[in-house]
Amino acid sequence: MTEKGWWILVDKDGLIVDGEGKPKEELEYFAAVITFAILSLRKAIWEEMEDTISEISFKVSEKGLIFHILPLEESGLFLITAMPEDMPLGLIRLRTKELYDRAKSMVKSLKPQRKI
Amino acid sequence: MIRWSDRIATGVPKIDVQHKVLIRNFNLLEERINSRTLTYDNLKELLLFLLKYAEWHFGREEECAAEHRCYIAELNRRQHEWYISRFTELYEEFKAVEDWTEERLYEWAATVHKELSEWLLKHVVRTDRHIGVCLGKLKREEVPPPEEKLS
Ligand SMILES: [Fe+2]
Repeated sequence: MTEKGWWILVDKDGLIVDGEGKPKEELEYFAAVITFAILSLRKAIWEEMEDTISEISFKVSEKGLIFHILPLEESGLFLITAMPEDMPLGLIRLRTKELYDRAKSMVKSLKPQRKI
Repeated sequence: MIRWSDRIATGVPKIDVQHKVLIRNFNLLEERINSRTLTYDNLKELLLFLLKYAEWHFGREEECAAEHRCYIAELNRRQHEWYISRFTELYEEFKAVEDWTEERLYEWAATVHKELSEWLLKHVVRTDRHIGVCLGKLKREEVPPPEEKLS
């Protein structure tokens, strides 16, 4: 079954800064878990290769979704997008880029983030 | 099942969201026990996730408490340390058994679920909610006094 796409912008504590496409509670849970996974993976890569991850992609076949995780380095935020795999690749790239640019300009316009 | 309510909320969004992850997965374990859908593999995966997530979450929470010079910071840290070592001990015990029978697996999982989830709930209510007090999210009189006990 192919699910509709969704996306979230999360901070390093797993809190959602922005997002759409799923009920808030589900997005919140996913954000909290995937942030933990990204940071663990990033730590492992750093310890092993002294390098940082610039992009993570994976597919969840049963749901028919393709995931992209893109860090917005300067802010410590991550953009996580889930797009239907039956969407043309060009369109996935375009939509991801659109969301990435939007997140970047949003980060720029954010006032210095509060600690909590 | 642990249900989310104001009684267990610290009022600090990043802490509450991480507590919800732990609670949801302890509830998942309970659900698998009750619906008889537990297997050696899914139990191992769930325990490992809970252990690693708890470890990560405790680190974030300790940073937050220390940053705000919270009066509960040291007790919180010591309780976390105790929990991780107890959880690790249980996980090692689980891996060491080679001949799990179905009955024994269910029995062990139910006991461990009870011990680990009850500790978590008590810890959130009696210790973590004081972080909410330190950050001005809760009033001191809304939170039961902390307990020095680790277990
Ligand atoms: Fe805690």
